[in-house]
Amino acid sequence: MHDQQHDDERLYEGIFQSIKNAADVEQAVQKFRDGYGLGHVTYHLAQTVAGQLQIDAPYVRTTYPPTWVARYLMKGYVHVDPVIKEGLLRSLPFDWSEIEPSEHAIAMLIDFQSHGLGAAGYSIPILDKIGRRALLSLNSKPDEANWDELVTRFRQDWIELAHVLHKKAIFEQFGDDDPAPVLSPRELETLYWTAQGKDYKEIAMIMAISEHTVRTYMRSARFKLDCANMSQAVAVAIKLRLINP
Amino acid sequence: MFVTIQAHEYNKYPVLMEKMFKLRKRVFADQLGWDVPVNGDCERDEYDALKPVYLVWCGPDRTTLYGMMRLMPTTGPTLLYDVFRRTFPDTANLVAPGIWEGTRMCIDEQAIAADHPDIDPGRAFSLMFLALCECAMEHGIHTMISNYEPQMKRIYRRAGVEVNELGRADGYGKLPVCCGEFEVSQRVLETMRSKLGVDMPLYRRTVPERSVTAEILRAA
Repeated sequence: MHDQQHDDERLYEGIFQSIKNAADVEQAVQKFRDGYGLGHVTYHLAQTVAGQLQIDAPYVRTTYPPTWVARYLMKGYVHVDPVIKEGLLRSLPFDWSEIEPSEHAIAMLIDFQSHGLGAAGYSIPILDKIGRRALLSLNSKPDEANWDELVTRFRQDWIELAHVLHKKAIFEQFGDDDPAPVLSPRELETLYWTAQGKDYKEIAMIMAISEHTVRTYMRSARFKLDCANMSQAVAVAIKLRLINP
Repeated sequence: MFVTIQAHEYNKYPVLMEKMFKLRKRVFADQLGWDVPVNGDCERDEYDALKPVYLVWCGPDRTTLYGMMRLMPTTGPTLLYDVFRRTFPDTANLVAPGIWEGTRMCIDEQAIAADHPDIDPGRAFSLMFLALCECAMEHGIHTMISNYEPQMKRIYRRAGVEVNELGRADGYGKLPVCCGEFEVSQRVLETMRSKLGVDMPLYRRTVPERSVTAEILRAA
């Protein structure tokens, strides 16, 4: 059990890094799919165009085969796709078994199946600080027998990786590089003590707070610095002169 | 029953939604004296426009409301950041996909007394927290952050809720306000269930008979 946890952590860190190192989001979704042995991975950034023109030109990067993508566009499935429709309204991650398709969507699902695509899926809604919404959908291989176990085992990691992809997509599309992240005093303290070689249990003693609180500060600091683990977060924090150990 | 209502379902439960905003007005504006936006007999703020998740305790027909809480991911805009970042910089600045904020938690004491006379307000809040813990676990959330009144701490302790208070301040209403982070884990869930004597899940995801997955499988 402990070994599996360790393996999962290594896997997460490896995929985190390959998403960041990927040439573009297109390549990043492939890395995600291959790393976790999924059928397909699709990132969909919702687009709302200001003004009178209600042009929906969503930014989508997917590993689906070109034949299915062409079919999807030709048939206008984006307007009936129940995963997209609900996914951009929901906030909590959801399994495709929670989505009730409309009558219009049934034909699309039959078509989806005939392209040899897997029935199970898990989608992660993404909401960022300026209110942009995106959806990352993970689709099983057609012969996947342990989907629920896979979801339970990896969902926390998948949810974090969804945001890593989102940051990359935002950068790719808008060139927005996040301004220097704002870290709270306590988050900086956990980074400082990590730089001194302390683990979270020791830091909890030093700061006289619970271990869970230390880990919460660490997770938040790591997310803001867009890093796969604490040692990377420390390196980035030093580079940005946020801490001076 | 404990269910979530998300933006794709708001129109499906208009009665429950209206009761939620009315209850919030009674609790937060009238009883606690918070400076919250009131419109007629409803309390609704800008965060309700951001498609939040409502965790709702309601009757089986989903029209009687017993309690509610609003959940939002800290990766998006949050009330705690906007309102409390100066007062509680360490809590309000927490941001990560597995950290969510819970706000406006309240119960309808009259509705509960009428339909569940055996459940006192302390137990009612405890059950809400147990359902919240289940719901959060189910969706990959490992930490909740929230503000609460000091007297809630006794209820948390009795219910096995693990809260770490990260700050406390006066000046927001009739009582001081605390800010804390709540651990969400299997360990906490089991402690709560045993302390509260609840041996089955309170919260359930809604799984329809005809689902996307089922329809694709049927086509195969």
